[in-house]
Amino acid sequence: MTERDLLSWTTLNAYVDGELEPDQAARVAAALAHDREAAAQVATLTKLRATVKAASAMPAAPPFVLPQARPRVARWLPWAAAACLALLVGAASLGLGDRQSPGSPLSAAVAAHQLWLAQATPSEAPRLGVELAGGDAGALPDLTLASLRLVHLSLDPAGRRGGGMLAGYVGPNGCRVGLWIAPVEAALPLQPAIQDRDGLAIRAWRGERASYALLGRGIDPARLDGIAALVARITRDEPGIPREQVAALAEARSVGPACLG
Amino acid sequence: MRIIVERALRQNWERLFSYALRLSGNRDGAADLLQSCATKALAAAPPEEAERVRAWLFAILRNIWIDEHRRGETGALAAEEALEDEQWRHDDRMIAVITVRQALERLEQPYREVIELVDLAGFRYGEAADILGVPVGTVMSRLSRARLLLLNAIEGGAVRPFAARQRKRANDQ
Repeated sequence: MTERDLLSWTTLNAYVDGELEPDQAARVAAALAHDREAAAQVATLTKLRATVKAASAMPAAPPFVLPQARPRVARWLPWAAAACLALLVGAASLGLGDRQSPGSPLSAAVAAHQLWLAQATPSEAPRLGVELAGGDAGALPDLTLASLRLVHLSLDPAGRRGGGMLAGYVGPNGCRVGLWIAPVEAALPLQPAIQDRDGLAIRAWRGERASYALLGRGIDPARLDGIAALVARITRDEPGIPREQVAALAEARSVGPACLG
Repeated sequence: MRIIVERALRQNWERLFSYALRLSGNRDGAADLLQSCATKALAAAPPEEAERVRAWLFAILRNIWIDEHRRGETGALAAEEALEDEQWRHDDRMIAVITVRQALERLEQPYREVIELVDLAGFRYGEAADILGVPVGTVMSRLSRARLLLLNAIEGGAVRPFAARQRKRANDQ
């Protein structure tokens, strides 16, 4: 390398950046001692680098949110969900559902939902319940329209009451909404009705083949009403969702405060 | 593997966004670019050497941007012209945060990009070369040219290639 190359602008840049090999850097340093202009360039470069850093404040980045990995779902899980429903419906058709549970018909639903809430939040901890991907569990209502994703399934083995199943859904902000499905309970109304208790907002009703309860803690009542109406419609196999119902769900989602559970 | 990529994304989130902002020129575009980068990185196998993961993320982000916005025009700098000698006449007193900030805005994108990678993200020349997909020598010449253009811009002159500036000076005489 000639003296001219040794103190070229490009080499001086590499020198300031610490990119030269040690012996080459040493030669540049020695040459700088005898070249006032090159030394001035190094001083300028050093100041320029420092000022560029100072002038380029880090822009405020969006929150650290990673794209969701699709949960790995065992092939048998959707079938298990369907089997659970079939068992429940079968039990109801055999008259088992007519047996009255001690206390309110919603006691088992409340217990199952509180047990789920007591578990770690879905995004933070290893999930304790059975997990499902909403799109794969055809046996359970798809509540995508309400921005709810199916993440949990637990079966109440209390056969003497006909049993029940809690499907757990989670919203975009981590709100947890449980859908309790149990044999037909004659005491429940045909349309979703307020049945709040034990600190939970509950909408419960009965259909032809099963009874349902939608449970949430601290959830906006209007949002819960909207979701209940949607579930009732889906479980009655009514075709299509009216546009106004979709709009109501969206409005409740945007206006209401975040839920607690 | 996913854990390694997640950790690298978390550690470099702000700097990746800064780079994305430098490429796209607007916050929405940069945010989209960042999410696309995260999606692609999480689905891919990272380099085995941990120290290469960071540069790998930046390369993914840049490639997505090229695919989406600049396909066919990546050679914005058609030729890396050799730098010509010039009598040194820059005044260090002009180098200040505000003048540098304004000058950076006026630099052509490829020059801003190399400054972003080396001066701000702290990549070595070799890493920047991998990200940009060019030889190390190109990074050296592009960076030194970028800094010279920056100094010229700080002085208040229009930012234009050095040779053009000399030609204009010769014409003026």
